[in-house]
Amino acid sequence: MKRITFGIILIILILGILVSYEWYNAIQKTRLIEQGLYPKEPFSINPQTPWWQIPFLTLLSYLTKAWFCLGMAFLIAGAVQTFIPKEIIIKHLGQRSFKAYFIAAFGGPLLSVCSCSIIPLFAAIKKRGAGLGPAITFLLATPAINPAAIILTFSLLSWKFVIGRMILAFSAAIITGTLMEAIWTTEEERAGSLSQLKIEYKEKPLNLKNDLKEWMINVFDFVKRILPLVLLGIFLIGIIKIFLTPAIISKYLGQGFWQIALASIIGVIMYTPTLVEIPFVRELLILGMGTGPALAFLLTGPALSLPSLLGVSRVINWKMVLNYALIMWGLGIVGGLIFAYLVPQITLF
Amino acid sequence: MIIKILGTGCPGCQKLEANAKKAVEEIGLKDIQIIHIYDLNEIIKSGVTMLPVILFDDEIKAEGWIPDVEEIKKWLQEIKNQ
Repeated sequence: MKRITFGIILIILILGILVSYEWYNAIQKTRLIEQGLYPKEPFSINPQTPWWQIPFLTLLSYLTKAWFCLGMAFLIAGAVQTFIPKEIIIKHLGQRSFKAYFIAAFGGPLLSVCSCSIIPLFAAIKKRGAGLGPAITFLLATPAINPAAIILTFSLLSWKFVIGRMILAFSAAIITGTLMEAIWTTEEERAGSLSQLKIEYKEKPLNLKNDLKEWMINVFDFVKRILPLVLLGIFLIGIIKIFLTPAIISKYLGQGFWQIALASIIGVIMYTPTLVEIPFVRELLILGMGTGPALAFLLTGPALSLPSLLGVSRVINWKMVLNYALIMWGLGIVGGLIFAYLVPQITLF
Repeated sequence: MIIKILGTGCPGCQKLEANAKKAVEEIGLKDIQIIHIYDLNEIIKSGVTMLPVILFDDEIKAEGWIPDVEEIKKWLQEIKNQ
């Protein structure tokens, strides 16, 4: 059996376990509610809770809810890293064609498992590969449409958010890439610079013992790198919760055009570590955030931040950076409006 | 010979540097210098796609993955035998 086939079967298997687990839980919960029994929150926060306990309770409540899903997400991220050869995707990013946009949007997430690789890879796609447009698409789609983020969105928000986020993030990334290509690429550049992005690809045979070991090493690497950020992020959300009352949230982040515009621009500027955007939005939704602002934040939050914009401005002109940040802000608003229209309200368990 | 490591300081890049140092030490080759290049502009100029990267005198040995100590030792052994 080929290595990649084995990897894909493994990933589908883990996904299957996760989805059945989540569904089983959801059915159980609905049954209890139908009988009039409300499942007790183990670490619930009420108005009598002392303020200093809120961050700790937020963290504990999150962990009891998400440990299984988070664990599965790390297993899958590790499997993608180990078994899916990156060369297959990069090879297709070496051509100037419309197909490159799709590969950049779909394949990016499979590549960018190490965040330190994103900017060199961006530079390579732009200069020696498919050009500016697909490079921008790659940069924007990667954080939003990766397996771990999708799984966590499914578990903590709902399948509606999964579908809305995937479709809108995917479209926003491709639209921004296409616009940037149209605005900034000159005719000469389009005609010239034949692709030089070549990469050799040696297919490795499957060696079950070694590959499983490598998988575990990669999973452990992810846990070590991402989990502390996620935990810290949730603790900070708990601290923010002390100061934010439902009244403030519904005024500034409730359903409405200006609220969506505000959420979108916060997402563009604020640095949100991968996966933290999801519990962040969940907490705000519980406090009364509208679905439109929530989706707008999910679109721009992980894809853009001031540090990442500064990083990219070392590779391309800062005017281009400002330009795509503005386009994404606008698309965040459009996405938020569409989602608010289709899903005006949502109930979270 | 010069061993160059390209990395932006992420954990993987640091591990690669540690592996390379250990391999050189264990194989006992003299006159080997290990340089770690952190500068993003220089990394981009060298034309690599994925990090981390390890080069033996400008020849790319690994790009986008982290060879372990044994693997690097194997490459060093080949050079030693020449």
